[in-house]
Amino acid sequence: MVSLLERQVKRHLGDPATLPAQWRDFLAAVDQAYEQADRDRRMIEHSLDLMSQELTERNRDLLRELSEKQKTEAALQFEKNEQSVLIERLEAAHSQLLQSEKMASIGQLAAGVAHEINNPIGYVHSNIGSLESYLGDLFRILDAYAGAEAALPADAPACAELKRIKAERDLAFLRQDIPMLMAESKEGISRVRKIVQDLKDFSHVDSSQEWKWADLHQGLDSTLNVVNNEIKYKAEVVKEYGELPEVECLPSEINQVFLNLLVNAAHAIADGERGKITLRSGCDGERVWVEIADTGSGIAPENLKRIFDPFFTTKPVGRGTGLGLSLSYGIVKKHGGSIEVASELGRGTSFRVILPLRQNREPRADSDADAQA
Amino acid sequence: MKRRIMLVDDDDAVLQALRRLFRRLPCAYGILSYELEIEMFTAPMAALARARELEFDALLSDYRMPEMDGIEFLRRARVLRPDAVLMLFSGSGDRDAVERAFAEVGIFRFIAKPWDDATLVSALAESLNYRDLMLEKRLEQREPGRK
Repeated sequence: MVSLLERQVKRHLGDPATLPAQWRDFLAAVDQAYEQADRDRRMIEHSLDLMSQELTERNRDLLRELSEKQKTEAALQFEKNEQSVLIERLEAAHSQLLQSEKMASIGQLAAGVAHEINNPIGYVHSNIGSLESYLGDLFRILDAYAGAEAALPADAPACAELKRIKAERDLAFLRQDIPMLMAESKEGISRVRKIVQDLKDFSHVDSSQEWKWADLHQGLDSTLNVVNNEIKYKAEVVKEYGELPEVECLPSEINQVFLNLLVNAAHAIADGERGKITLRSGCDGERVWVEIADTGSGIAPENLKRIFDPFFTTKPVGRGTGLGLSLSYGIVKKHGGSIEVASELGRGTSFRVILPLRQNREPRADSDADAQA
Repeated sequence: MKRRIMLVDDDDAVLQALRRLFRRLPCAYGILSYELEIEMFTAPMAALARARELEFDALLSDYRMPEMDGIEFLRRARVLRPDAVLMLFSGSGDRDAVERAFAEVGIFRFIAKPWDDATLVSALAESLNYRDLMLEKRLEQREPGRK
């Protein structure tokens, strides 16, 4: 008998064993009903249990799926960010490459064209010298004619003709203007000659990349000529050169440093303003220094620490790659030197390149000094 | 003292300018002054043919030329005229070429284009003087009693 029914029977009717037979049948039927109900309930409970278990599992699955999805999304976002940084760097590297390729091709061009340009420069320069001397001869002959003219009787027909033609062709003017014309032409051809020479010096296409003793002032001057276009409308360049001995260096790389600093100085000066770029130099014992100071916008203190970091730039897109100073830094380090910077917002910036006079290197087998001797 | 000089450059305007220059500036070294007889060629092959026919005291050649470069030209000319003094003339400033010209054909001077008129004329005078000294020395070695 179901225990609940048994307890009830015992309490109200006494020992079930003593009950009359018809009661017992009745109780058995009730008992059966009880048991039936219990079984049903247990079954329902069991299926509820199963359902609840299933739901919990499903829920857990969903949660796991969700968190996985979130993780994937975060990873994707992270990758995307990384990629855009990478793309930015690639773009910067690309434009720096383009820039150095441009410089290299200027060098190539200078070398390739120099031969062709140097021929005409050579003969035009020499011919101007010859022409000058021919003109001197012609003027002397003219003077002799003038002497002969004076000896003629004043009423000779030739005298009148001479007078007329001298006035018509303005001999006095020719005598005065021809020397000026010759001087200006000589000056012009000398300038062309200097530009070609500077281009060659700057790119050092004549020589392979090797350590040599070089005059830094000459390097600065030829670099200045190469970037004159970037500078001349923005700033006046003032040279306060000190005494500099020759320095053992890689001249074309040092010129690259000068180029970066000069271009930066010009870029620091706002468009439409006219600034000043001062070039100073000096030597203290075993080290020389070259300073490039501008009156531009200056560098914010929080940026000062980062200016030599690769890809750091505050220039607008397309104008700076953020590699100029870091390359310069690398070049100067390679020389055993250093770059110092002093800047004040709104007042300007000054970079000082400090280089040792000589390099402490192992003597190399292919030293060009031997080849020259 | 008359000297025969050969100038070779594929650019005729360069030759004409040099002709004017040598007429204008005296070719003098110290108290010595040389009178020049100049022959000019724009083609190295034609110049070699002429060098085969005639003695020259000095040869000045451009480096970059179509038929052969200046070093090759001087190398061949030197076989024909071993007593001539050689000079190379170039606008390319190619260091290898300059070194080769000194080492391989023994040029006396390298002259860079664009040239400086006075420097070029004095380099020629100096090279002619050098040639005279070398020839004199050689004669002395051959006939020690001479002088």
